[in-house]
Amino acid sequence: METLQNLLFGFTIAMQPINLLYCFCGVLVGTLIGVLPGIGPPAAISLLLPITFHVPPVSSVIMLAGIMYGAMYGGSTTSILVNIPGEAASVVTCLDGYQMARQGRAGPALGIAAFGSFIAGTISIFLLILLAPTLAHFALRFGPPEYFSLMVLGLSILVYLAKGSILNALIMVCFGLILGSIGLDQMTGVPRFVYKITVLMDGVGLVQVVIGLFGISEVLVNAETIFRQEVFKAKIRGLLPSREDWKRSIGPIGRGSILGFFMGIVPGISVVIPTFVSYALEKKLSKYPEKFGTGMIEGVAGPESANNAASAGALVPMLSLGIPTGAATALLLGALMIFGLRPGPLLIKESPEVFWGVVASLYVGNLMLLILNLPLISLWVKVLRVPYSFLFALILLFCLIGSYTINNNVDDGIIMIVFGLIGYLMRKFDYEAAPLVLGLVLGPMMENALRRSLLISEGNLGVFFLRPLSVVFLIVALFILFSPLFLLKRRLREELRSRE
Amino acid sequence: MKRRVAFYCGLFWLFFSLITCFEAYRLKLGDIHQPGPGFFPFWTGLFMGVFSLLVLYQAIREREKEDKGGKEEPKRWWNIVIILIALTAYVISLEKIGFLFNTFLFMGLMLKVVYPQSWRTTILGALITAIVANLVFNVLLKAQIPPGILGF
Repeated sequence: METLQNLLFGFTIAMQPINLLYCFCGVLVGTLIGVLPGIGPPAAISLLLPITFHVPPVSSVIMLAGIMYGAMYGGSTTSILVNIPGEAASVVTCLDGYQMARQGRAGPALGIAAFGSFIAGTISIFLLILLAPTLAHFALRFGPPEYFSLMVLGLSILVYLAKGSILNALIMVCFGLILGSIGLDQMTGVPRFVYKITVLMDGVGLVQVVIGLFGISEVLVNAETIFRQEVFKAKIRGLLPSREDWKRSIGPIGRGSILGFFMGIVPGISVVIPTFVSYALEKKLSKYPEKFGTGMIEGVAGPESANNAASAGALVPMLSLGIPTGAATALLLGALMIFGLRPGPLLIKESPEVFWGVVASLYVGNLMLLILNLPLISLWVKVLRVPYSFLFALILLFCLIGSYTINNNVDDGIIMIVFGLIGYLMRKFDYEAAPLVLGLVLGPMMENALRRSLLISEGNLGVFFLRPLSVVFLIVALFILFSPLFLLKRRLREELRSRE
Repeated sequence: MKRRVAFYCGLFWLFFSLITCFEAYRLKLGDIHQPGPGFFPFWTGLFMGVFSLLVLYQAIREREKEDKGGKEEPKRWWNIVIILIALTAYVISLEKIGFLFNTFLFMGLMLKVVYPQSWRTTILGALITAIVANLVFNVLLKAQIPPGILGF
């Protein structure tokens, strides 16, 4: 009953005309940015974040959440029509979505992606409503040792799930943690690693780093080669899926929603892995698995639902614990902190209008995406036809404006360019950006929790191992980090046995 | 090639971690009862050093895998240099030259040099982008990007 009342309260906030307008702007602009190849939700949020500084905090967060959802949806449009994923979570949609477009079924593919995303969003928002307050209530028992251990666990999972080498991911986490310590020390006010550079006194800005790592580096990587884009040319007809399409898609949508939501809660999984898992699941359950990759609607419905549900799932730990699970939620967390809000167990208690307003606006945003984006598909197709030789310059310009307008400071632009170069080198040498971003965001919080824990316990490291929750988090983290070694040992033993 | 790259990356991160530890030590580590400002970065640097040593060890131990890949498309590395220089020049000159003119120059350079377009496309594209961007960011969104010496 209380949850329902809170949700209705949230809707009164989200349905205010000004918030509806911001939600619409966020969804529209997010879709536009998401349609552009290579710019995913993290870069979209960071590019548009400075615009939200002129807006009240609740409205800003509503707009940013709209951008996140919009960018997800925009990414699937590019996957289906151009066979180039708009962002990482839409890679799988290319496999069957583009094939459906080639068979003249671009409309149903786009339609089911939109409907699937809406249904998944609805289901996952209800799960968010149930889980987040419960988790927040549970987290009120957390002290600094539990927070520190939880962040160690979060980073460990992220590292374990890294695409490339675990060692490289660990190095990136450390790099992010070190970057996070640049600036004035929280406890003593001593400048650290500043070297008399004024702009570093407040630390390395998250927005500048993300724009550089994701936006600039993407353009630099593409600038090395001749970018070829082939937009599907035939007219797009019939966006509403047929009864047969619905019959085949409803199962994948349901499964994708549940799978995506619960996987999205886990740090490091982000929204990419649920899409692959959903695709693999649907292929396994299908009577015609050999037809996947040739235009099966299940191959679009499941992953698109999973990615939308995972975005909502990722908000659970971010809002209720203050722990982001990926780059996009790290940015949302950063945005909330810039607005003077502190995500965590106390957010729901102290700023209920923010929490319930955001939850309600997620639903409103999903509905807007469904109603508005289907008729606007021809507009997105026109955007896709803008040659990349022109688009890349626009992307660079948005990055420049975005970084400058944070503080109207030229030095922020320089930081962005430096991290653009770093991001480019990272891509060349197989280092992932997400562990760095999470390290940067969590670093100050981890340090704070560690130092407070040691102060409370008078220097006794046992404080992390004597508190039940903390020790559980640490044991799981250690197990996750060392499990590849056990697997390697087992594999070596099996190899030796087979040789004998 | 990959092994060599991993080796040099490992060396770089080892060097970085040593510098971090040294600088963090200078900030004062404090003690375990009351950690100082250098405590957290020092230990993080130390962990980074350990991981870099493991990367170096792996790179030395691994046998070089044969490169079976086909001929790679030649990379247009000069575009990277041009873009980085243009971005830096844009940022440094923004407050002096102003948003509108600076944007026009930047877009013109990108459209003409990186993915070469005709002069007509370059000038028109740069002009339209500069005007629209100014309208959207300075007028509509009131981003307060400086007008510069030309006054607009």
